[in-house]
Amino acid sequence: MTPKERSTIGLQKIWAEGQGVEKVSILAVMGHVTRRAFENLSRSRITSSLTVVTIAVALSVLSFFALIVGNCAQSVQRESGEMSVMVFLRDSVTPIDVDDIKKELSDLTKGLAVTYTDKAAALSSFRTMLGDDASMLEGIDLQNPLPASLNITISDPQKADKLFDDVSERLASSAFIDSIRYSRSGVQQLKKLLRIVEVGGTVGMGFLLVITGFIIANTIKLALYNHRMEIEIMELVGARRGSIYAPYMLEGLGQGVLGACIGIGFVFSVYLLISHSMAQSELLQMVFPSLHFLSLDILGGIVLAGAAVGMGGSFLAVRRFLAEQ
Amino acid sequence: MIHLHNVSKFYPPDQTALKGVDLKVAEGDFLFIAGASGAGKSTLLKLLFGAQRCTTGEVLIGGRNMASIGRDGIASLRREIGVVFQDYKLLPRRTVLDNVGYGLEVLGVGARERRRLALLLLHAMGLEDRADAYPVTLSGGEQQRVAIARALIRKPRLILADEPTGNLDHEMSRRVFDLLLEANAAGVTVVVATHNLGMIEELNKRSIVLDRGKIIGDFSQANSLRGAP
Repeated sequence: MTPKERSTIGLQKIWAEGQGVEKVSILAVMGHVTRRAFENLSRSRITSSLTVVTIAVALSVLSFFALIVGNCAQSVQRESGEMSVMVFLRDSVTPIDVDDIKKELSDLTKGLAVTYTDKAAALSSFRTMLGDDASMLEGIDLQNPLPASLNITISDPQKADKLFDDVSERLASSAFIDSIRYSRSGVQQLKKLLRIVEVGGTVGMGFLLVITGFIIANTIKLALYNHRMEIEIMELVGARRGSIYAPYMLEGLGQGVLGACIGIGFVFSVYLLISHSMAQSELLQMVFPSLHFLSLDILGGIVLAGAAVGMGGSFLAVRRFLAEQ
Repeated sequence: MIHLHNVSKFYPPDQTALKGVDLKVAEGDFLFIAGASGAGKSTLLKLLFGAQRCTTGEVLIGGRNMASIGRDGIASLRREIGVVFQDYKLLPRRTVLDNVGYGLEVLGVGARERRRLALLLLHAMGLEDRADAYPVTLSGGEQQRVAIARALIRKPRLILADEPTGNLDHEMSRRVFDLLLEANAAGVTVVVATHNLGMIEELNKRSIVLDRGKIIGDFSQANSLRGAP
């Protein structure tokens, strides 16, 4: 074949037309990344769904932990907030004696609310508490069995134990005192439970996040095998590392956020169900007088965790995939 | 443009793909790499575009040492290299137009410009009516010309082709080589690994012959191949 017989296509002219064309457009880069991310999602529906479900399950467990821990913390806080040392007085105590007792305790109760409840007020309060069943108390007014009391309210649960011990010691030999009570054991048990739930929850959530990250990385890696030719060609044409990673990280971000939203939606359904059941259970109402859903901060944190796990998993998967090429 | 100095490539446990290869290819040259299957032709090309690294020796492309330029350096180098394979390596779910413009797309060139240049090339190649078709609907020759169009869309300094006509008949092979020759005439260095001795003789270009990883002949004119072992 001689040069005369060869066909030509005018490459020089075409290249001249394309001079300066490699000026990068940010819009085109974003368009390419977004297009690739959506293509990946639509082409690997099964693996994408698997990733979203994995994230949703992991984050719903995490959200559920957060819901339990949050409500337990609120219960303990409420109990602690209402913590009080009750000094029950003998029936023979006069208002002057009450003032003496108050004075005797003044250095211990400095800055604290000390409320005196006489026998009549105690009975009235009890009657209010019984509500519709208050009729049981009819005729009891003349022989009111309820003692008068001094109620010392303390808001710092850490100081309640000491206050109880000090008051008990100070009034041990007093002839005016019937008994001194303080709901120490219940509060301490709640605090212990909260601590266990907090520590267990944090460890469990951390463990769960790590496991989820690995599962997601492997799931995405599985999906990458469907795109191995595309990645190979991207490398062949000199794509920058960012161009290779970005679509998969965007895909992971979308999967993570979607998974987090599904997880939160599931936990919200469970929350509604429990709230509904609580209306019929006195026991649950005693433990959680009012059940609260997750705060906006925590919800935002869970969505961020989903995004981070999705993007991190994708990053790891692409890195491992490229290393194996 | 290309300088290989005492290059060897070993695969574990004990396979020798290349051994002590010395080669220089000047800018604008056209080089055939001939040899039987397993002679080391594909390995040599992989070293040239950085898909693999040599075990010993030095590979310099455009003055850059492939052992020390890192991943970003290799990506940058590949933007100056067009690579063509026997199996075309086209994206099956992308149209011909998208495949031709893919090298520009991943670099962030706008869609309008990509389309304009890709259409110019396809038109010049007589493939404009296949622009919106998917690769699977094209013949082997058409697919290979699309792959070459992808390699040519950015004026490369170097084209590496691994058995580009391995699946094509003589007429289609000629059309493919016409494209490579035109690129070469425009100043692009072209290196083609091939079994196609007939085409090597017909085009009368410099050729080297590999046998079990060693260069056993370096001929400035292909006709000399007749005397090669």
